[in-house]
Amino acid sequence: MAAGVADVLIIGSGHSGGMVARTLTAKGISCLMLNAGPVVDLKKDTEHRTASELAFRGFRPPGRAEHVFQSDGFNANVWVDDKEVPYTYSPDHPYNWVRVRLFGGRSLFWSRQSFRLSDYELQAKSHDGFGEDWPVKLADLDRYYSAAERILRVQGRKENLPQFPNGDFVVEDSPFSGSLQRFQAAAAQRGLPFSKQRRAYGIDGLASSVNLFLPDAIATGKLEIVPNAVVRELTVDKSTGHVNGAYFIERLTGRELSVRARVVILAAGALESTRLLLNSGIANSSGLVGRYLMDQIYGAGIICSVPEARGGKGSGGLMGGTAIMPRFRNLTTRSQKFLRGYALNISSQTGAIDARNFADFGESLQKKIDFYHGSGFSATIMGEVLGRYENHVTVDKDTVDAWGIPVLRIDTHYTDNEFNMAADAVDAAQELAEAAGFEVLASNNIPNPPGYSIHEMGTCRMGNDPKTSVLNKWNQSHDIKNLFVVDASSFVSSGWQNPTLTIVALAMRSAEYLADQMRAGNV
Amino acid sequence: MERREFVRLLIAAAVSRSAMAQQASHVPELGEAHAPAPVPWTLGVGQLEKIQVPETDPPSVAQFHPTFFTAVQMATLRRLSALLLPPLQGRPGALDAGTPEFLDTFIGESGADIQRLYQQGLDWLESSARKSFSTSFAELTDDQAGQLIRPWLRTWMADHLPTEPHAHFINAIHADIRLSTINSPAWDRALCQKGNPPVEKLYWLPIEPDIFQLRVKQ
Repeated sequence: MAAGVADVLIIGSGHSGGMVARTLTAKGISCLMLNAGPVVDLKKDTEHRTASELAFRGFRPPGRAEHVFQSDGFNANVWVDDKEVPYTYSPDHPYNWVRVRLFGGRSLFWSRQSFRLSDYELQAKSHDGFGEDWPVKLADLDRYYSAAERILRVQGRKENLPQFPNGDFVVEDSPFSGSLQRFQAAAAQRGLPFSKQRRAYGIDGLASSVNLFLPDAIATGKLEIVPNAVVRELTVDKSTGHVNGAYFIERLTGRELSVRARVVILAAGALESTRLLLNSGIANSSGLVGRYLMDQIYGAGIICSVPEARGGKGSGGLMGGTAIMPRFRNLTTRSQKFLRGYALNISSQTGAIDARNFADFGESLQKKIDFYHGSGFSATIMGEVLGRYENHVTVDKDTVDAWGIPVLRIDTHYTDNEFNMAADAVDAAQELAEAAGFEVLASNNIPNPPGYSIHEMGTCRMGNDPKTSVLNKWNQSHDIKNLFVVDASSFVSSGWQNPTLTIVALAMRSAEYLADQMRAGNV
Repeated sequence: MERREFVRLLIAAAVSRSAMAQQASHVPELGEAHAPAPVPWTLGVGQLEKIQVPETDPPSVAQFHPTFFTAVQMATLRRLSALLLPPLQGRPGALDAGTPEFLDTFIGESGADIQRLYQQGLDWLESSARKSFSTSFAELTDDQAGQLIRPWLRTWMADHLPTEPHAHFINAIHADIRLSTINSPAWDRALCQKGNPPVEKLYWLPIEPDIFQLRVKQ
């Protein structure tokens, strides 16, 4: 393509950007994709090493990615450098913003858990009176969820649980190990659900934009990609008010360039997309761009030991495997302590139990580690965070990134709802573990700080009313009809479910709508 | 100097001056950044295979000099490391693995919060030892040192260290001592000797590092 006008400019190459590119190019629409970081080449960019061969013995290098709990000496170079692209926040309300700008974004490194939102999340306000309903219901998303599950190859087991909608799974119905069956029995006695995990297996274990979505788009010959393109702001045709392109800076040379497009799709991840809108000063007649930031609470839970598996006796199918207890609170009854719900990730392990589960040291500690080997069992929370107006992001004009682009200031904190939910999860897990005959070794009822889940959502929420939302039900800006935001910025509530499957489904749906609108000449 | 040697050197200098004069009069071709050397200075480098160097681990031939902890803090750290992770089951303990030395460098480069945690924690152990046993922590027996440590040991989950000040320090340093030791070259050598070589994992190199920005940051 010469330096003309692209049909569609897509900013971002992760799950949402990759899916819109795949959908649009399949319909014959030419796309230009900009990504802030480089394309990974495993042969050149990785090696196999032991921890002792690293400069800091596997510890996260000092001063690198300090906000990324998940970082260590092996992976420190994949995360966005906070010094290169900083963000600001109040010391009283820290935030852990975890970003990957490599081509494919965080779709290279996600946990693969894939669950549909139910109408308990999509119509949450109708259920409990808080927040807003999404402008879509589960029935509106069903076809897109199914398509996404097939592409991602989601494995799972069907259940008859309205809070845990079934999908187009590769059926995985192998029996649970003995320890999981005991926990399941304890749950069943209390009327609590217990099911197989649902995970995207993709191809050879990789379920990323780069191996599942973009190859199809590239094969059409209608996708051009520019890596190392740091977008500074969107440009607007002053006579029409429509977006018509973007300014970007070449990451490595600092050269300033611009592109023009008929349609612009932001898929840079919630917060980066919002940052672009705020820095561009557009699409905000509602005043809500940046508002209602949410994520999910993780980190609270228990670590147990299965006594019958100690002393090397854990063979014979007693240990191993995972399960999930989908939301069981605030469905047919109402808790006095918190709204919405959480799921418990359940894991039965055959390896060593970490030393921090024993208040001991030296030879005595080693004897315990050896005796308890192969008997570990854990239950940890994935919980919904309420969308609150006061949890928001703005642009910090006093601080710029390495390319001179104003950074985000993030102002969010958890409330009693989240803390009470975490405490309830630990109590529930502890009761079930003890009923199953397990020994609880350690517990924690304090959630990890905001951002830890790497599931930031909201700040450009969708809705039917332009006064109370930024996007319509098609992820289209209310204010600018040729502008779409297709990542998790559009979420109205967070749910307990990992957001990726919903992001992919919504992106596909939005792209199909856009294609129809372009064909009809409406955009 | 003999005259013959002097003449030899004079002629060499003359030749050198003549060569330089020739170089100075050379007009670079278009695209040639520098005047050509008599022999291209990168000749042969492109075919260089990795030199087999019998590398030596520095601690085996060199002496370590702490740069962050004081002498007393270092002595406390060494005693604590020996107590918390002695040699066991044919594997090196923390001292054999050079863990206190590693932590001196690692903590010295870490953020102020972590530095303060370690320095105040080690100082507290020293003052506790003086108060309880009238001697430095470095001189305590295992039993005495254990009496100071045990009340602060807790069970905890990942990323959620205990919050009581002394418990926070003791459990944090315990975890750091263990990880530093288990991930040490000495530990790996012990594993190899047992026929159980250490696990290699995928390490990510810097990916198209931004040299321009590195310059800006300086």
